[in-house]
Amino acid sequence: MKKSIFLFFVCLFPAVSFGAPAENEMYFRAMQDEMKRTLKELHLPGELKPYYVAYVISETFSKRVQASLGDRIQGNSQMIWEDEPQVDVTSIVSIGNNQNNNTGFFDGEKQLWRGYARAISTKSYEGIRQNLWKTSNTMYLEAIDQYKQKQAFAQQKNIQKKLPDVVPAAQGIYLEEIPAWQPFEEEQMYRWVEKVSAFGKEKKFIDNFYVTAWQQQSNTYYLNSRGAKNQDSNVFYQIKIEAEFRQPDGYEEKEESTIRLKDFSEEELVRAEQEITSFLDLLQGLYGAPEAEFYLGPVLYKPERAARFIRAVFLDDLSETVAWWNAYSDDDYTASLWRKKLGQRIISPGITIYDRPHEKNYEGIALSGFCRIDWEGVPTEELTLVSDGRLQTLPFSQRPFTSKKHKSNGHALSLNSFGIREGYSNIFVEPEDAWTDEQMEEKLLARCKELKLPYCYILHENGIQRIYTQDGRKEWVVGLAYALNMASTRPLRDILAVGGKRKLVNGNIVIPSILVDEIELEPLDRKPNRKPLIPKPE
Amino acid sequence: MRKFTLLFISLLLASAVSFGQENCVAGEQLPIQLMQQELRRGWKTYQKQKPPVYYLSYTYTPSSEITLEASANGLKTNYRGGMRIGEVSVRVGSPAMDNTRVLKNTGAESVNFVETFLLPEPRPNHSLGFRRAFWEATKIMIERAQTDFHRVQADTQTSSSRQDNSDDFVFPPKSNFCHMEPVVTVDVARIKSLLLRLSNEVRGHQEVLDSSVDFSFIQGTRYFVDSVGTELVTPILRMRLSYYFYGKMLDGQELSRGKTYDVLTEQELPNEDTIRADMQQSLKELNELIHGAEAEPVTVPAILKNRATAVFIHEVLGHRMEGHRQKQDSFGKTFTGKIGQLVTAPFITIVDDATLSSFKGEPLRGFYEYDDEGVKVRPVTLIENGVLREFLMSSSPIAGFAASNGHGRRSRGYSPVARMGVTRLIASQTVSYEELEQKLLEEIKRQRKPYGYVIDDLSGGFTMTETFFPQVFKLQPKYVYRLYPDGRKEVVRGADIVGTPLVSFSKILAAADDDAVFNGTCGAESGWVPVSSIAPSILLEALEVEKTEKSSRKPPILPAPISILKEDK
Repeated sequence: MKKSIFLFFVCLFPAVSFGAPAENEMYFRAMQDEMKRTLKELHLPGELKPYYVAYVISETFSKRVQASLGDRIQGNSQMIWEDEPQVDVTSIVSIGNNQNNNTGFFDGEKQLWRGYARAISTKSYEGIRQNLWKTSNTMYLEAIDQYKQKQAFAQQKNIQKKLPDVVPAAQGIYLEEIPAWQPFEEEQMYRWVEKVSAFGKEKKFIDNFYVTAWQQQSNTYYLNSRGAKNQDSNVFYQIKIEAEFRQPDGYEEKEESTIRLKDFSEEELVRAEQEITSFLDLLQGLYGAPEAEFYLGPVLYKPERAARFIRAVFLDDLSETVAWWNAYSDDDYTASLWRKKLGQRIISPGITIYDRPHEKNYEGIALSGFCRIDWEGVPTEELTLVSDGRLQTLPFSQRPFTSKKHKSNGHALSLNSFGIREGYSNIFVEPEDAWTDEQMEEKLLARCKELKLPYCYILHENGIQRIYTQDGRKEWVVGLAYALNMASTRPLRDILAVGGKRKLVNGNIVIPSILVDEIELEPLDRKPNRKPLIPKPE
Repeated sequence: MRKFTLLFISLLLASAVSFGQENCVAGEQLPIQLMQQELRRGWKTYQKQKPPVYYLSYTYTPSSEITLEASANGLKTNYRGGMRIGEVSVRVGSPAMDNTRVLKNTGAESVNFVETFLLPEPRPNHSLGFRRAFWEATKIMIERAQTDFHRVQADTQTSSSRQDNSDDFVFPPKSNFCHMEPVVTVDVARIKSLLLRLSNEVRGHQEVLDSSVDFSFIQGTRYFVDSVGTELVTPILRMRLSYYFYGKMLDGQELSRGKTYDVLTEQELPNEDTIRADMQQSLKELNELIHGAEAEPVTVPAILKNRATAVFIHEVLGHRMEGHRQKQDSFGKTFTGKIGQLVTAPFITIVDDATLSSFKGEPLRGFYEYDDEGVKVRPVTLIENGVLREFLMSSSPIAGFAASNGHGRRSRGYSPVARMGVTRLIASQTVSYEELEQKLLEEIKRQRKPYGYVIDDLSGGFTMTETFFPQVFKLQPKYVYRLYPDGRKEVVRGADIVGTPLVSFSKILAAADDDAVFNGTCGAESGWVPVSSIAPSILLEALEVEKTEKSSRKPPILPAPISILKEDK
């Protein structure tokens, strides 16, 4: 168990920690020294001085190896930052005060990049200082420009009263022990990817089969001028598999999958090997499968597809929950539409959706949404976004949503080109009544019969399966597109059942299978390619 | 965005292969055998297609690289890696008209690409991935080339007639050559340590806002086969250490000084004291520029120092000597009809000799043995005693020049066009540099000008060769000074050189005997290629100077931390 310390305190009260994991002395000293200078000396005559500064240093180590059909491939991207990390520094500078500062306003037409400044740095005290100096200077000048434009906008719109730009929340300190970067042994991993990529040779119809093993470690160091501090780390292990093949009728297919692992231990690699074998068996099913036709009816989404579904109809619009002033439009078109539906029924009953930033792993596999301190230095809170079918809360930052009594829930998790906005972390979808896989299929078939459909569909990560109403027979089909109306949230309320067996998808969504009552699936409008002039080499 | 051609010192790597004789047998190399096998397997079938494939080449280039970039006592880039790149080039139609012809109706579109892909390492009985990748890329390229050929056919019917109706291609002669270099090792820890120490040289220099000390090294082998039967194996080896300092004035004027050292082995790098002394000199020059007068637009006599002349001939003349620029109607064709005519001073001869691997002990990055179309390179006399003689040729013939002279060059992913290699200005009458400066003083007085210019260092520039643009060039000096009639020198900042090629080239009055090398990387239609230029200092009767573009942002408000921090921090 790694050591970690987590404190939070009210702004301006110094944090004292004993027995805490060692913080990166050089990084924090460089940030503190440059922050002190920025707050004291970075000043253009006649202009406001910075009143808030935040710095982030990110270290990224990465190593990958790849093989195709049993032979290793070397590429430029494979060994970058193998020995030493790529170091990025990010600066955020605000002028004005909490009531009225330079943030919360953007010109949607000009799309100016002024939310933060980032630079690649060296891993040295002087290098960090240099890059914090450069990026602070850039952000200070941007802040002055933005502040003046915002003032002009308020004057033009005759805005007399407004909510403050920042309702300060207690700041936090989270220090986690940073593990040493321990990259996999290259030759050993090359041999493994060679071995498993050679499985592709056994399927004669496959033209190319790539297997890539990738290990990445991201370390983050955060400091702001209100006393918040964060130091954490995440290590990811992934196997990516990609296959290309040509259908007998000329259609060219590409399928890929990412297998997330706890580590590259023998046990985990055996698990990956099994998944690769299943993937190849699935391709065998897709080879020569019939082309699908237009379909409207119930669909069973397996976890990987369920994650895509929930992203499309819910999560993709869950960020930026508080609207900003937009000089280009009366409404902030970037802001989430869910902000208008708080407390309302949005999904079928019996489904709870949590946002859990404190979860570091799921079944031992690193979660990409882990975060204890947000971009504003506020400790993150675990949220129940949806329960009893209703939208209970949203991710909030220190920017007030509707009143001065607003309280951030530590979800200033999105740092985009305009600045810090609200975002989600790790999403967990959980049913009140979990159905088994068999029950889900039975329910699907029952609904099919009810609707007098000859077959229904099961959507897997790779491949789509017909399940026939009459006898429950399954058949792979190809050439179907997922025609979901992204603007409609209706399918959320058409969920009939949710499975019990959950899976981690996309690094931060833990979700089971979902049965939806009505979905449109359209055939792809594609043309076959001509036969290769000569057969592929064997 | 219209295209223009650039030449500048850059961090991009360039080849300066150690010269060598054939020391292996191409046909015995496994990559050559596998590529030949795959090419031959489909060749007869490809030829029978409609439209037919009539030429096909495969290139395989495995290489390993080291790139280190130090700044402010730390490493910003620490890259060690390698790549195995495969490329397939296909010609469909016939030599008279094929898929590579530049379409007239699409205006400036003249870039052709070849299929580029990563490859597994070929090993005996372990080559399926390698062969299948070439098979796949060939399939893609043939489909693309056939589509392009149909477009060419349509374009030929609908567009105005071509001024030069030469064929699109001439088959390269069959060649067989194999030259491999032993593995060069680099003590990475030592180089890292050296770079880190050198990166501290800017401490105490508040005028330096940014700086870096870089090292780059690439070693590899190029394997080439084609449908004519050519089999080539040639080495790639280049190593460079460089540094740069950047400063900015309150008025937005950006200034920089730097230096590069091109070598073939680590042992050839200058010692640390020499580099430190050079860095101190560059810092002194940066300071002089900061305190220097701002340039004003003016036309005065000037000396281009040797390395500056080298860039001058590359930009002003070299690009206009490239074969395809005489052929395509979209180009200005400044010199196309001037074969046999006097175009510059009679004591000037200009040769492009990419067979030269070094000059006065300095490796030439523009050196190569065979071009990217498999043609052996030969020296080309572009101008002889002031008279225009020849053009640089790829395998795309032009009126009066039916064959390649081995200058079809490209970088990864591009199709070759005629490019420079090692361009050299040779003066048959020379004086010492001191005498040349004396001649400048005399010329200033004769023209009753208040001063002349000495262009000490040029970083690069660009030239416009398309008819849409005026046929002008612009060079960007980094360090220049005025020379007054009384011999006084004054460093000047913000001076750009502009001009037109025919006038500028006719203004050469004299040359010195101080030939020097400019090693650079040149960008044009076929990508970035390593080039060298060798020239002496020259005196020009007139040179037009204009103001440099300035940045709209003021320099940082606070001084750079590295400039105020003590070393033990």
